[in-house]
Order: sequence, then C-alpha cells, then structure tokens
Amino acid sequence: MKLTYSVKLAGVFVLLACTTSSVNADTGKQNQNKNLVVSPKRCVALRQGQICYQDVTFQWQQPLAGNYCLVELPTNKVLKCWKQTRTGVFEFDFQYDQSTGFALRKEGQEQNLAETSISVSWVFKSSKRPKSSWKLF
Amino acid sequence: MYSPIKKITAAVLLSIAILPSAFSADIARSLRNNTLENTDPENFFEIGLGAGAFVGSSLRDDDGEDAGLGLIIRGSYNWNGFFVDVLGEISDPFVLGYNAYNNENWSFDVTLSQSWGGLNKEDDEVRFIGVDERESNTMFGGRLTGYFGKNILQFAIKHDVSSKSKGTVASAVIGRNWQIRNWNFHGLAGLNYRDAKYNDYFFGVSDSEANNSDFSAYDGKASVSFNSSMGVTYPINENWIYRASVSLGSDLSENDSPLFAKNRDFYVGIGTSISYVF
Repeated sequence: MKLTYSVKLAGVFVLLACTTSSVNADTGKQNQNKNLVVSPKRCVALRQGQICYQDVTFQWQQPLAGNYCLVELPTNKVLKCWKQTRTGVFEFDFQYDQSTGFALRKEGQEQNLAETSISVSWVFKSSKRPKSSWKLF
Repeated sequence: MYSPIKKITAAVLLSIAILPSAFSADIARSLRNNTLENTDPENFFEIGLGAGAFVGSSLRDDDGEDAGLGLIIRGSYNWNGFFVDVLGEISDPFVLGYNAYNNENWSFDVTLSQSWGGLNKEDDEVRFIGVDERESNTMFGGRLTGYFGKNILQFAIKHDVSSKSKGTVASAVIGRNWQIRNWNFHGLAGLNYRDAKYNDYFFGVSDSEANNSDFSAYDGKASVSFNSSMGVTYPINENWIYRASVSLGSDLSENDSPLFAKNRDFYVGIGTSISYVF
C-alpha cells in the first residue's frame, strides 16, 4: 500500500518535472520568437501558385550587441546584416509563392537565434490538368 | 413611379451584364483569377454585393441608362471532368458541361446551357401588351480554349435544342491577364455572332404580334457584335475579393428591333463588387 503511494507520488513528480520542462521549453521558444517579429505575418494571393506581394517589417532584439544577420529559410539567403547592435528593424518587400521562414543568426554562424515566418494563402485553389487526355471520344 | 423591386431586379442583371457577359465562363474566370496555363477549374461558391452603371440599348428605358446595387451569386462545381457553372461571368446563367479533351495548351468542353430569357413582361407593363414573352433557350454546343502563357483564346458555338429559336450563336474571344503586386488585371475582346433565327425569336415581331400591339412587324437578322472588357480583381483575404470592370461593345444590328425603347449602336458599363468566396 505504501509502495503504491510512493510510486504514485514519484509519478506526480515526474509529471511535474516533465510539465515544468515543457513549460520552460515553450517559454524559451516564445521568448526566442519574440526576439524576431514580422508584421504582417500573412500574405493573400488570388490564386494558388501566384507570387504574393506584401510589404513587411522585421523587428528583432538580442541581449548582447553583436553582428547579426536576417536570413531566409531554408535557403540561408542573407537578407540583411547589422554591425555591433542589439536591435534592428528591416522593411522587406515579400515576394513569394509559398509560406516562408526567416531567422536571426550571428553573422557567419548557422544557429538560429530566433525564427519567424510569413504564411502565404489564397482565395482560389489551382491544380494542373493532365498533359493530354481524351475523355469522351 | 419608383419600384424598388424593379430597380433591384434591374440592378442584379446589370451587375452581371457589366461583366464580360458575352463570353464563356472559363475564359472570363481564368483571366480574372490569373490562371496560369491549362489548370483544373476550382469549385467555389460566392455571394456578394455589386454596384454598376450601364448605358446602351434597352427594351424598356427610353434613355437606355441604368444604375444600381445588386446581389451577386456565382458558383462552379467540377467533378471528373463534368462541371456546373451558375451565374458566372458568362453569356448564359446556367452551364452544364463536360471537359472532353485537354492537353498542355488546349481544352475542349461540351456544354449544355440555359440562355437569358429576353423579354419577360412585368405584371403592370402596358408597353408589351400583345407581345409574347421570350423564354430562355437551351443551348447545346462546344467551346475550344487555348492557353498560351498569359493569353487565352476561346472559340465557342452553340445551338438551341429546345426548339424555341432553333438559332445558333458563335463567339471568338481573346484575353490576357497580368499581375501587378496582388492586383490581377485582365482584358479581353471578342466577336459574337447570332444567326437570324436566334435574333428573330428574341427581337422579332410577328404579324400577329404587330396586329395586337403598337409594334410594327420585324424579322430578326443575323448580327455580329463586338464585346470587350477590362477589369481588376483583388484578394482582400482568403475569403473576400474585390472586383471592378469596364465593358465596351457594339449593338450595331440586333437592336434594330422596334421592341427596343432605346437603340444605341454601342454600350458601356462599369461595375464594382465585393464578394465572399466559400
């Protein structure tokens, strides 16, 4: 009986530990995301597959001043870099046909310090027809 | 006397008429939606509010001018090559069809459609006493659509199989679209041929009608009209779209009928609408 109680208690601690760990991870992720924000976060095209155009503004902040770069994911294309600063603002002409992620990195490094994304959606779906087909004759 | 019902009805028709009404669904919608090449048509249903103004020939209005607000309902459903277009940007309000063939650049549809009704008398209308109403025709035909980059070409021919007019209508249209930021512009122009039987059914005045009305007898003649449209479509978000368009065209011979209260050789219409797409 006592053993069962202990097992249950241990289970509660494990659960609490996992929950706490998860909360810490989520908080870390949220803080990371807060370190790089983009507005607006959505771009709407008329038709699926079209290039969607949107003027967006990236804002970022870091605890320490340094050389940072904003990169496009997953291509790692550098959009802009800043020297010896801990904050930055970047106005960008978004022109993509699909949702795209962006990340803040220390210059020359591949670790993402913060990430964000801009979603592309559309009003009308579009799908390619087969290249050639007769259906009736 | 001002009749709200009449005004709204006229506006509903107007809001459709000002769109590229003489053309088939695929080309107008493909152009508006900036469709690339020969893609499968999408299923959708939309409801919206439109406003427009029109100057041209008219069966009822002495000045041939109209303006107003109207409800817009459009839809399209496609399944295994079969499709139904309801109140599209088309010459006919209801089109049932089958996509029989397509390749990289060309698509051929077999269509069965219901034409606009023409002269529908209103209860208190004295002008058309003694004149028979004209019912919509059931048109069977085909349309061949070519996709060449941002240019779309369409040939269509259809014949009345309801034995009302037993007439034939044919059209040839070329259109193009282009995108500036998220604004989708389109332009199209074409010729529309209606044979004498078709025009005679809708706009002819028989001897018996002439005897029972103030209209003189008239035999409809074959006609060729020019139609064009330019417009823009903008996605406000995933469900709301804004449209605006200008239409220009000719009515050089089909409106010689005495049934017309106002006869103009050309028409112009402008319209704008906002719609919710489901």
